[in-house]
Amino acid sequence: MEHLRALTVAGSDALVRVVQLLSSADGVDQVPPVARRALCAANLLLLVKPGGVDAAGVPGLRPIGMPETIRKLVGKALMREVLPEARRYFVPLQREVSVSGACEDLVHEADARLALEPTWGVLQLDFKNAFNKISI
Amino acid sequence: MAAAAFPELVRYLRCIYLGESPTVYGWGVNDGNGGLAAQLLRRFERGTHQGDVLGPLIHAFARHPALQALAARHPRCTVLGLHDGGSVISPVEELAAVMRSAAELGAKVDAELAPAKCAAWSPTPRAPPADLADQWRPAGLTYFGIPVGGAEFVNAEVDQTGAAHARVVRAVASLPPDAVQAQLLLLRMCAAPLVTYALRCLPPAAATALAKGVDSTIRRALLHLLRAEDDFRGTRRAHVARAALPVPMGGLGLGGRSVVTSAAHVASLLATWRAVDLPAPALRELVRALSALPAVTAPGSPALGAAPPTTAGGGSRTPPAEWGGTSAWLALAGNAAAATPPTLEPPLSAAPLGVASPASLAAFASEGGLWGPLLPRLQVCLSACVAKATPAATGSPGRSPFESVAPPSPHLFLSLPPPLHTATIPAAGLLRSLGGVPDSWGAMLAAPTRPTQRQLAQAAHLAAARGMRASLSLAARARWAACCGHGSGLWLNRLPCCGRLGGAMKGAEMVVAVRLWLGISPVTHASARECRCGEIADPLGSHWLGGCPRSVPLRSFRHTEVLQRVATVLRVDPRWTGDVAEPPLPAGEQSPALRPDLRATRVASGAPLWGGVSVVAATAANHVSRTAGSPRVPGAARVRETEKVGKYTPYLPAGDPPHTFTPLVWEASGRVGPATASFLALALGEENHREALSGLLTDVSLSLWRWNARIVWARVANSFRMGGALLAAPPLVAHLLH
Repeated sequence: MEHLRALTVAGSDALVRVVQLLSSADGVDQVPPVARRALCAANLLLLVKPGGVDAAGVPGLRPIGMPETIRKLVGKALMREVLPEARRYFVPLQREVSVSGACEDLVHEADARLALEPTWGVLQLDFKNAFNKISI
Repeated sequence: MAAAAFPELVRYLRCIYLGESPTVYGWGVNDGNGGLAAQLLRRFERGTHQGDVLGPLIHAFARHPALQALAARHPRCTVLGLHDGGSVISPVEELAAVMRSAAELGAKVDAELAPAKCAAWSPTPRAPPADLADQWRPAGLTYFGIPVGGAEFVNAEVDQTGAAHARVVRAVASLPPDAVQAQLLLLRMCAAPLVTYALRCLPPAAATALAKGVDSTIRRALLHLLRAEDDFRGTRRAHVARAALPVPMGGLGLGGRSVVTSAAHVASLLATWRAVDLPAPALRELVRALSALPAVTAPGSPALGAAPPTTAGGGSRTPPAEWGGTSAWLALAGNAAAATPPTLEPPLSAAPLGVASPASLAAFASEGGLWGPLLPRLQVCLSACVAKATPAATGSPGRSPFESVAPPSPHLFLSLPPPLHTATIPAAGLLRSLGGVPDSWGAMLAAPTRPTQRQLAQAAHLAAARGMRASLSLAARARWAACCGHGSGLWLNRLPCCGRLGGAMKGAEMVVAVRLWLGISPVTHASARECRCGEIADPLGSHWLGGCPRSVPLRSFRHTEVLQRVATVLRVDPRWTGDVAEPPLPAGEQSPALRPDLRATRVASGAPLWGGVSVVAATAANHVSRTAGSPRVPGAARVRETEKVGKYTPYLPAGDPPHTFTPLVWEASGRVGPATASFLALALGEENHREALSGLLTDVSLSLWRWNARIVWARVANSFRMGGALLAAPPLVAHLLH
């Protein structure tokens, strides 16, 4: 990121044009496949989970993905564009998008709900490896 | 569906996720034969990319139909989804059915429920419902990282959180002795914020206990770090009290979590209620009920755990011992009588979204019964927050060599602004303007900008600082004020890197500098000393940082280093050319003594600029009254700037474009002079391009404090303790002193 911050004014303007191109409706099609693959790539940092190795001798790994910076900029630009609509779409069922401090929201909301209904209960749901399995 | 909901994303998703060749994740692990094991190659075919900014959005979009179906199938339940988890609040009898539905509906979007990781709990103690025995947690559960349940469970979990924090602090403390700068940064940036989320969400009593433990751990580590174990008890107490303040107030931001616990909880609640379109009926009702509560009483009365208020929110079902929120939420395992549910008619859960509650419900709420202990708990929390933000009675001014000089201003750190809820304050000025905390939830909620934790905490720290300051001498007040604001604390944020300009401070220098920053003598059991110049110097070395002729060589080094930093930054900036430090005299110079320190030319206009660097001690005898009296203003720097301009401007050479002069003045404690700050912002600052400016200010701040430490340390070692013997000078600077 630092190398982008160090750009001169002209360089910043060029960067803005690239981000605009990639986030526009037709811009993506103009990117050559080779460049597209490069932009889609991500560096992967693997953290070893505690607990030793599995039967195959492979340790549990927690991958931390670090995509290309320009792709992140494009993603952020698009995200900013769709945030208001996303909030209307997801809230109140889901809070991970467009809600800052979502965990706190949930804690306080559950607090208030159970204050009103102390005989009720709370059930926490957990889905296995959900980010890597669910697809549109 | 994606195209309909978010058409802007379709191209992006197609490009990233439907490319010609699926992305392959691979990582190298030595398989023993120098190759890559096949099982460590992962073809990306499902799910979202790791690190994709839009990953959570895509994931939420894919999961949304399942949650919608779950909410529709169980209309009485409150379904709350977050990333790969979620929770459902419903009648206990329905929880098992909800879990079965979640498994069934989740499978339709490829989300596989993990029943072993699911957990259920109810505030009212009861037998586990059928089909939910494995998930039932009678004592409580950890809900999004926050323990909820009986007091025993919550306390145990809080203890574990404190123990985890202590492990981090121990790891930081175990770094080599010369890594004081890194240790301090790790304590401030990593260890201290670890518990912020817990403090914001835990009920006040549990949060207070956690904050107390965390503060104790941090203080021990800090005292060890600053070699303060052998200091007098009073010195240590002053040390930790000052360190608890935030850096802009002259502290370190370490060990002050107890001060801001209630502020954190209040701010978290306000953040949750910030949305005008609160999604949950329960929250809307709670906001309405809180808005009707009266103001809390004056500071000092009800504190945490004190007797319940006698207001409408007092409630009647909860024993006084539990008013401070001993357990998380309202539930009290083993206290079924206290948790007897009120009869709601009609139940709030049945009320459609957006419809006002019935009159009978509102009346019930106004009596405090509807919310159980929640309203009183929140009222007590606000009361504690207000009490923390209100300064204690002012004490005597204390003893000081300058005591006869009265401060010209009664204000301490900040003037008291109008109450937050009655003033329309620009967002940029809110932090500075906050001087008090509204004393009722209604006022808090009606404020145009709801206060954040930082603002509420600042009010609490301000009150604490006022109490501490009341007993200080004028000189000590000046020393403290010299460390407040205006960039004086930037050096504490500098990352230690290698190299001459890397910003690393040696461990011993860092210890001395931080002790001076906190207003503590650099050596243990210090007393007044007799300088070699014959003057009596205070233990903190104000004499040597300012007017002592014996420290002139070291102060010259300090001056030169600052000058070189400024010149270097201007030299690499394309908007300036011909930058020369210590240039030859202008043509037609009058006196060698008037040679400015710096010359540069603005590329755009070709106008020559002359600069004069100066470092002035705000704690020197001639500035101490000004500094202590107007602590918000870098008065000493301002005076020196005026002197510099008056001295050099008349002798500037004539030319077209005209020559100009700018003062470049810092106070020895790091505060930047106002004219200097303006010049640097114009010369180096540019929107979205502030790295050069912030880097220079940080580096100069670090240089100043490094030299402060060296000067005071050297002069302490080369002066006479009253009645004592001469100490050995540090080898680095001993040869410079004679």
